[in-house]
Amino acid sequence: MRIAITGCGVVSAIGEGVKETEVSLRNERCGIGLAVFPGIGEQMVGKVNVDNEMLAKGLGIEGEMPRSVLLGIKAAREALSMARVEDVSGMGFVNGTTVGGMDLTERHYDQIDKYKSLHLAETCSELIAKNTGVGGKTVTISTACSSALNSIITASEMIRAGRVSRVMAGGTECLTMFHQLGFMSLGIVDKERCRPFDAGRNGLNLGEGAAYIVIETEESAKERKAEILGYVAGYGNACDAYHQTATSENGEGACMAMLKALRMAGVETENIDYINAHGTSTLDNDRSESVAIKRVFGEKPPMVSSTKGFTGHTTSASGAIETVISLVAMRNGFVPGNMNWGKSEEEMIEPVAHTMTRSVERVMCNSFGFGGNDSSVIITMYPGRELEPIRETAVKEVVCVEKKEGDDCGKWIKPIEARRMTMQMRLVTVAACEALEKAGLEKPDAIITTTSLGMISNSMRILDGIENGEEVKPSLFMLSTHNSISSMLAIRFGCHGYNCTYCSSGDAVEDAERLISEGEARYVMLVEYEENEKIWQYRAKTKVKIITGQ
Amino acid sequence: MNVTKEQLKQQIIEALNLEGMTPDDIQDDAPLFGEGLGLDSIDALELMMVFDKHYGIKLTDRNESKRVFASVNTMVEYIESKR
Repeated sequence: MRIAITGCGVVSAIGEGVKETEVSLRNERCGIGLAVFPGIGEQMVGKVNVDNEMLAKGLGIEGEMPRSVLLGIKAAREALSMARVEDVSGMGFVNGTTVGGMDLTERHYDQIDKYKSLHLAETCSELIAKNTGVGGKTVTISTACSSALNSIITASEMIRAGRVSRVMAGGTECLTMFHQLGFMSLGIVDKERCRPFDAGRNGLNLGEGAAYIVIETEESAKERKAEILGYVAGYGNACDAYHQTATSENGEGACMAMLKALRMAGVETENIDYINAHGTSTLDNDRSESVAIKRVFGEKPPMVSSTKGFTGHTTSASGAIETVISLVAMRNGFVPGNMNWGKSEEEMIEPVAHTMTRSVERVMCNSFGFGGNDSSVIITMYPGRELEPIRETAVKEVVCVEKKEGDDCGKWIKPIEARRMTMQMRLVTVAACEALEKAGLEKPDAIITTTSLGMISNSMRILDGIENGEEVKPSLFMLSTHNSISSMLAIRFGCHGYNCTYCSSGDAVEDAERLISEGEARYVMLVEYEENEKIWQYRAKTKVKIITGQ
Repeated sequence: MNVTKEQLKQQIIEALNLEGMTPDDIQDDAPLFGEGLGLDSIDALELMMVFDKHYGIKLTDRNESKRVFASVNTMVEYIESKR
């Protein structure tokens, strides 16, 4: 079987829609500029130049909605209209987001009860599904900056397993004070326009936007005579398992993700025509990604560019926005330039500085997130090797450990490790250690977490601080994303295998079953994590299971 | 204001949330990062905030901060030199 792309839609700082995006890329029109944030003044960001009111009006939507939902609906509608699917009621939807409704939460923090129902990442996905008519299974993924690319991977896996015949996949993210101040606390935001891979780079600019692709089996696309825009030929997800925010010097996770994608696609390195790099323009990412690309492709890699100099770093949407950019470039025969690059740095790759006309048939798209959640997807213009369908086999539970407040954590956690761990993080660590001990394993092959509210206590502490005009503590921000748990455990156990975080229950189990069935993992660690939360009334939950094939 | 090592250690303990530790647990000349106490780059950012908040010192250069935050002794020396 092959996975065909039959629709795509995008909105970002360089354009509302595929056509505008193409024109901006061709003409090197950068979308990054100064925008005012209340309380912190002007910041250099890739803002979508339409306010919420106009967006909602254009979409015919009543009432207040998170901006990530509005941007999402806009991109999704374009993708669906391009795919020309007559009945979308059975179509699946895999959405990546981290901020969800955070923009409304932070703006109306004093009336949080009124807006709390719009805060959750999964609510954001449901609202996009509802307003586009997509009525099949909805899945929400939150692996920080790689969320959208992981959504494309999960959607492809769902199709390979025959769970659904057609899926819309991608991600959405809007600018928030929370993210802006959070990234600033890490000291990785540039006041000037970002310069990915340049020797003088000095950090990233945040951006916002949304993008989705519609994928289905090639057979289904041909049957309904849909135009095939390209193919998802291969993908890889691996974990750097190094640090929550820093990247390893040798780019281990990135390297593994790229190699997995190449192996799956059955493509030799010399046949990749273009790499759309993660290229955030931070000192560490660009160096580490350069090392990883050279490890995989050798000293003369294919043409590489980061398009974050056009859009800014759109975090949870970036994987999808850049997949659509790659698709647009491939279909129109050009390679997008790497804005603002001028000076090479020793041992680093030299990107394509300016947009150039070039025939491109195979593109690798990289997306890396906090916690070392690294993913890579290969899209091709023409059909390549057929992919094996996933025949789901039965799985069994090896062990299950549950922990509750008051249980002893002493044995497994050193005092210095405990400094950033909330009570719930300690409990989940102990549960995971005990589960491995009982199963007689050193480490699992993959780690998948389900959490709806994620690291809500850390997020609330940050919001309280912002409300009181305090600086954001970097140690809180680094552990504010949903995927903090999966990556914390990967770092602890040195688990470089598949690593993902879902927001709704059931999706993680299905994902684990697929991994086991296709032989990607033998033992999968499944984590259920929820903190005690008064506003959303969530009860604490800490459960770690290890499952394997029967 | 005279900076004492005791004070600085207490500020480090609070900023980094080193629960269960007292100033006596941190040696004046022991490395804070890597093999010593085991702090990382995010702790360095937290220490920069301590310098800004308590001593009005703004450190931005990563390499300089690495040198300054090597141990409690080097931190005190740096603060004294900025007087």
